[in-house]
This record gives sequence, C-alpha cells and structure tokens, in this order.
Amino acid sequence: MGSIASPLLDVRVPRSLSALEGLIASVRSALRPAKPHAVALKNIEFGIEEIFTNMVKYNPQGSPNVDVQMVLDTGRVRVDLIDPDSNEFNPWSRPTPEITAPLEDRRPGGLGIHLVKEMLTEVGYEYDNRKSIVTLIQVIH
Amino acid sequence: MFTITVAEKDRIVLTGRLDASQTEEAARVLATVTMSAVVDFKDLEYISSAGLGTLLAAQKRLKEKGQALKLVNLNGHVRDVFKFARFDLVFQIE
Repeated sequence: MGSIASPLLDVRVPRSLSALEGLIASVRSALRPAKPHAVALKNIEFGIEEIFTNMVKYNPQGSPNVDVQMVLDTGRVRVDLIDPDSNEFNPWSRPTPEITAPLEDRRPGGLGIHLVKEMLTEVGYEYDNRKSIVTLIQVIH
Repeated sequence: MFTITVAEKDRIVLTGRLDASQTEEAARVLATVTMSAVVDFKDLEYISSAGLGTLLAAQKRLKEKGQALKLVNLNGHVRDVFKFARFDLVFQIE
C-alpha cells in the first residue's frame, strides 16, 4: 500500500519580493504541527526563498503569480514551486560556482542554487507546456 | 524583520532575517563603512544567498583599500550557510 501525503499548504503568491515575508510566515505556520527539526525548517525556508527569488528576478514578464504547494509524506516535506508561464530552465543543471576561489574571483551568481542542492534532501525539476515545477524535498526529523 | 545598525564606528549589528527583500537596506548601510569593522551576527537568525552577495560586495570593496570585515557570533543556520558557501575563505570568522 502506498503512503498518503497530507497537504500542508497551497497558495498563490504575487511574483514580487515583497511577498516573500508573507510566504515564509505561511510556510512556518503550515509546518508547525509537523514539528520539524530546526535545521530542517531553516533548510525548507532557504530553499523556498532561493527558488521563489529566482522566479521573481529572472522571469519578471511571467504571469502575475506563482503557486507554492507543500505536502508531508512519511517524514518528508515536499514543496513544489510552480511557475505557470516560463521558459524551460532547470536550475539544478547549472555548473557549480567556484566556491573556493579567492575573494577577487568570487561571483554571487549560482551560489544560492548550489547551497539549496547541498542543504536539501532532494531536488527536482519538471517542465511542460510553459509550466516549470521546481521541487524541494526535506526530511524533517 | 531585519535591522542593520552601525553601533560604533567599527561595529555593525545585524538582527532578524537578511533575505532577498532586505539586501537593499543592508547594502546601503554597508556602503557607508570605509574602515575595517566587526559585523555581529548574534541576533541574525537567517541569511539567504542574496545576503551573502551583499556582504561579499562589501568585503571586496574594503579589501581593495586594505580593510576588511570580521564576522562574529554566527549561529545555527547562518553558520551552516557560510560553511557550505566556503565564506570562511574570504572572511575572518570568529
């Protein structure tokens, strides 16, 4: 028998950095009953912020909103950040930034994606008919 | 909620969440720093890559003048983010 996922959050968020604080507050509130470990909670927040920020910064001409859905399934939280109107771009296919480079050669680009890959349990990406779904999975205990 | 305060001329205090929506304010204050300074992270609970980028830009600017930021009192999530980003190679962290 398969597991049953519990929906935790399904929200439509304005494509604006000003919506970030409210989104993170909603995520925290939705996760509270699951009592995630503090590190897991921060990892989830970090992943959502990095992906949402990219959707705002790099697709400003897209639809006015993006969707964020979160479910709990056997001790793992799955978050889908859905951009309904975007070109295909798999963030996880970006090359790893030069994180051991000296200061003068450091560039901030790509660092956030690298950190999400390092910190989260699993990541994923799907694209179909202009819809991008970026998935974050985190074990919460 | 995020605040950045120049508590003394060589001590900067960060509190709250330094996320992508707050980097403009952080950059504005850091741009006023022209000498080596200590940045106190004791009450900073969260930092994103956008926050890291703001600190990196300030460190580059100061290093060109022979000055630097020293970071103190990093905790929990913030310390993890700095570790994964290998920022220990470009900042003195205590």
